[in-house]
Amino acid sequence: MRNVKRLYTRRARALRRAAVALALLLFCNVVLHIGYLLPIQAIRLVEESEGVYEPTRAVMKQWRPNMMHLTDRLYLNEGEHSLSLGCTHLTPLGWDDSFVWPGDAFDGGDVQAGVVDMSRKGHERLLVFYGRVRGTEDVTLTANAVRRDWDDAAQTERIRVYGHGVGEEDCLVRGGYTYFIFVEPDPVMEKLQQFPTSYQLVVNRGEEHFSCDIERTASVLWG
Amino acid sequence: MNREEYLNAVAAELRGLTSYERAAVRRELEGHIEDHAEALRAHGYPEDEAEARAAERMGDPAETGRGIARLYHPAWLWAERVAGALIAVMALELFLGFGGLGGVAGSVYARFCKPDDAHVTALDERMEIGNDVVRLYGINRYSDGQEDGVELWLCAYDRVPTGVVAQNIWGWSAVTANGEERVRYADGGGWSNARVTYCHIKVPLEPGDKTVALRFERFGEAVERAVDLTEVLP
Repeated sequence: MRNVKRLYTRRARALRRAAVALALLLFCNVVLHIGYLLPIQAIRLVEESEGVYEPTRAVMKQWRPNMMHLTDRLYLNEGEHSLSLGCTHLTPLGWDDSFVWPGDAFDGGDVQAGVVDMSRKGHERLLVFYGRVRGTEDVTLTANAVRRDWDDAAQTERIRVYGHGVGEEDCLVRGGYTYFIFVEPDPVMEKLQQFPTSYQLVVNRGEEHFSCDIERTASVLWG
Repeated sequence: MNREEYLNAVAAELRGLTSYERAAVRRELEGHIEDHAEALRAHGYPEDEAEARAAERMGDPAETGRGIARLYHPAWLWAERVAGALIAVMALELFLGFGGLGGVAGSVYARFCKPDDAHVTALDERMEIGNDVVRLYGINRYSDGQEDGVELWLCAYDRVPTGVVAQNIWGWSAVTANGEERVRYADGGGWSNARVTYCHIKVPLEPGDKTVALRFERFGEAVERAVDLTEVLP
């Protein structure tokens, strides 16, 4: 009696393997929280571990290769009560999180903004300005890094401000707000070889002109 | 045409099949021919003739080969290869992330754990904040010579054992007695990981305090729970 071995078709084999792959993918995603196929999955995971419980939506996305990893992707996520900057990157094992920096966005103010500084060994220090400004037309923004030092000789505080205008390509107008993600090399570090002491956002909105200090700051060290 | 000749003629038409698939088809046809030849031999046919007749009964080898080749569409081969690569990557992920299962066990344990000190009164008060649950699982009095108070044993975990807990959840906590914030000291404790976090909070008390209130506030969500101290106060 010959030994009968079932002859699987390509379709059957492909579907069987796909089912196994899907089961493994679900297990890795849901139980181990690794192997994400979408960047937003990695961002959502960190949002949850940062206490952003409400549903959020990605307002802006930007590829920013080589900030910390080759495939860095920035997300500006907005919820009813929160506004977060998230960063994720692609690895051979799927999308992995870098960080999420959440902040309150329900104070009703005209400006919600934050800064994340990124230091990577052997690379220039980067500043990531992000946030939203109420207003959609004629809004131009300047992101400043400020260095304040006490001048003993003059007995006055010496304030040096370095900044750049936020380009149109770094802004998005939607739903009554102008959103922005703006990445630049730290100008204070470049010019003075010192860290900034504070950050400002200068807003030109039609006839209005005002600046506000950015208090929501975070640091990311890498490498 | 004997068996080998027949099989070679069929194989010549199997273009686009992998070597594994060719071998499988060959085995399958060989089996059919062998079954038929065996039946013919049982009816008294000599060996060679039985095999030749069995091969003949299989039909035109070229047509048979083309028919089989049509069943093996190249798109399914690519789908199979992609799925195979995905399985390999996922297997590696499983290997690397297997330690994460310990966190799931820790999250399940946090739902039922009791204080490991005999002088601590076990409690089971749960507060839901967002996706997370804060559990007060023990309380005890303390006195360090300068102040008297109660120590709260807390843990937090996601509602789903496989979920992650907000790591900085204790940073948004406040403990009040008589409306005043009273947290003197808070530290970790227990087995914290991405899915569960523990904290001990010391709350100095003043004469007359009968309750303390635990409050958590984050991005528009606020939860407060009063804790009755009558069991631990003299």
